[in-house]
Amino acid sequence: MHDLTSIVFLTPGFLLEKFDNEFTVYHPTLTTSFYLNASSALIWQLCDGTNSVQDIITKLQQLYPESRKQIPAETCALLDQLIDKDIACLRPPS
Amino acid sequence: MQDYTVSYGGHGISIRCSDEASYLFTSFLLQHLPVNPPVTDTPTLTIAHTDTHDLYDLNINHTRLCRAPLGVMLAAKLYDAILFSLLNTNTSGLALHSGAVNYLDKGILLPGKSGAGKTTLTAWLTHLGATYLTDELVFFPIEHPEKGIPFTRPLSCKPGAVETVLALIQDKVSRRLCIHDDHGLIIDYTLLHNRPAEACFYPELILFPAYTPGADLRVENISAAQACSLLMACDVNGRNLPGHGFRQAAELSRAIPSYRISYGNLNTLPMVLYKLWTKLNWATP
Repeated sequence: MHDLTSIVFLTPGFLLEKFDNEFTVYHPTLTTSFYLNASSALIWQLCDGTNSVQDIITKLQQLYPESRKQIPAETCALLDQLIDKDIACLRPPS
Repeated sequence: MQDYTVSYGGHGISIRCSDEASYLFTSFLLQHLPVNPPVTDTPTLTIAHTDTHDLYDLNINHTRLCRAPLGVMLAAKLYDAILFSLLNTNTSGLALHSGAVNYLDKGILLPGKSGAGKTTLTAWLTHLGATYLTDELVFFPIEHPEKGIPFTRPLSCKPGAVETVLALIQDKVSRRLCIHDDHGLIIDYTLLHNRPAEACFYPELILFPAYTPGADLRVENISAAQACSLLMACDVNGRNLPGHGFRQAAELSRAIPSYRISYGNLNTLPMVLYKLWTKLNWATP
């Protein structure tokens, strides 16, 4: 389980293509590609180096109150995938 | 000594064969690719007979890549070496690991990594009457990104796919058109359907094969974003291109409808394709 106060940072250097409300991400150095559906794309946009894991969860719950119960687990699951592929990392709050 | 030269994707390579047997072997494997005059200043592959029984050394610039009989394993190493030489510094287009056919006047791209099921699906489509183009690689030139140049070669089946493909050709197996040993099967596509391959095609459908033992055949529409991510996983020479060819893969994904085809066997493929063609409002036979 992640420390919810950790700040989410994306690995620099990735390329992004937008397809309607979905994204594809590609990192040339890591040679890793990653598909983001509409909800994952929102999470991705919130991983801007200023939001903590809890900030991301809170903002999504405000946008989608009907899904507030599922959002923490789904957010952490996506972050796990991004971290596993070295696309994102967590740092303690400064 | 005899030299066999081929070109693909704007680059060429020579294969020097030490005897008649290795020349015939090389000719069988490369017969469908354009033959060029001898090229200079390029790596040279050699297939040299050794003093050990029927073993041959495959060398590149005097470095041995493998030692094996003239069979499926040596063929696989030869293809790997040829494609590496042709694409390693190629900046004129994007190469994708992909099968390709023309079926009912529609170009179909069949991208997938090794083991995804490209060759089996390509073989089945050819058996159903498609024009065979390739089971391995398609090159998209930068100046004509909508046009695919297939690396046309005999179909090369891994051991797991041999039984399925042999069932398609049944009693048409001929030593002249086939190599079969413990490492797999290589068959000329004319054993499946005798329609000449074409030098280029314009894909209008992307089918991503996903072989899963025991699975029912299923076709599901995937989004352009999903397709783009999957295409990048099949990228062969992207590191030579700006953005690793990401923009080009994205444009292909935007322009062409994509589906994932999951299967354990392909017995119901004709019905599935009929339904897909109907859904896409394309003419059915």
